[in-house]
Amino acid sequence: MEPGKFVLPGDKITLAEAFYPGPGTYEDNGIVRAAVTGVVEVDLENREVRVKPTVDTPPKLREGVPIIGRVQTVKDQVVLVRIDFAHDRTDREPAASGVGGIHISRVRDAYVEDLADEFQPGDIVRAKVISVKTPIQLSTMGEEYGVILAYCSRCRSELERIKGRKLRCPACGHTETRKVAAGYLREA
Amino acid sequence: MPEEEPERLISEDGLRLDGRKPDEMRPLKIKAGVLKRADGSAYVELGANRIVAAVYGPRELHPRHKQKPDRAVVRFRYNMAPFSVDERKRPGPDRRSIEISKLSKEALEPAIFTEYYPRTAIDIFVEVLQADAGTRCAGITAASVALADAGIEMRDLVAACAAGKVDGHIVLDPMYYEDGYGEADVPLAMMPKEGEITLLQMDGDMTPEEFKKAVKLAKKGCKIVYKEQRRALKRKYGEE
Repeated sequence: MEPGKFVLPGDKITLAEAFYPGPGTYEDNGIVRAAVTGVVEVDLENREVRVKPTVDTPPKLREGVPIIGRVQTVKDQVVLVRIDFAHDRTDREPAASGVGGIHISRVRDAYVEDLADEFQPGDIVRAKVISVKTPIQLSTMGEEYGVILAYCSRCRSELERIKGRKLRCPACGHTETRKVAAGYLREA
Repeated sequence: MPEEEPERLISEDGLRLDGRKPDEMRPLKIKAGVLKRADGSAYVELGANRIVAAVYGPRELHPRHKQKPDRAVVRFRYNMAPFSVDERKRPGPDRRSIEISKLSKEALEPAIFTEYYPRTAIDIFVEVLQADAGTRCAGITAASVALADAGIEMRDLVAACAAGKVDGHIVLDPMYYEDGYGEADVPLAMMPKEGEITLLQMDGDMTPEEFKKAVKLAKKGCKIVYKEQRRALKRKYGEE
């Protein structure tokens, strides 16, 4: 067991008596082995060994991970978002299947009268994972989360942000509101 | 395959058609990460075999009813190019390639931590560009390196190698003529760390003693394959 040592899946790192198996490792028959290709890291404080991957690993959903998705349905209590990307990675599909829900209480840090004023079907949303147990729970609390691109509910053009949470359609002039994220893509 | 059977497959001084000793493998070359668009990939040359493996995922699995709530589904497709053999092979899956796909999947699945990726699919594609006997073993070898290249968590790599019976001799890694005119073929895949066998087949006739000898020899071959797999991954990911 040496920190910085290059290991492949199955390589023995240490004995389970000496260290806990951390991320990228597994325990088998009292032996801690590597599960991914990478280098050994030793955490003496927690007596844990980990493998820091040198390969590209699948983007897994975990609590706190940012995701990007598209709004499928807006119901009374919940918005369903189809999860397209995790970890802001567009080059590799997330290692998960399906949709996540944003509960009305987790949309923003204020009272929400009507979810239809916050999201509309088709909107592209950045959210944070708060539970990976199905059904996956998402949250848009915080400035950086919310709608990053919305479409006009009359003519489907991309809406431009005028100010705060107000959006306007450049094609038909219709104005709408959303839970707008800090990084909204179209500014008026 | 020559029209006529060669008179003898093993010469008087015990050498094979290509000059190998009975327990000698063909030259093996493995390269990790050869395809840009795949999540993981590998290329294998074993003798005249040329094989590419690509891994995609873990990713969303459609249709939904095929998802497993507690683990990933592994899908494996073994395919031979129409130009991979002397006579044009009719493209598409046939009885043989469907069987090989199934058992290759079952040879790799025990090594993968499928429970870490619930409700997803891990897709493995193996394309045989040129076949020279022992393609299922070379395919599993390539797929295992591709899985590691994709960063999928695994218990161990899976190495595969065949042994055969030719002119009454047990030989390692039969080549095209030996496979075609020999008496038996024993492909074997294993996880070398614990010596766990994940694939074992026999085609042809052998006595129990010969079979034991063949398994022992194939295991020896897997060790050689395993070393080369490690070297390939180390070349790509070892030194910063």
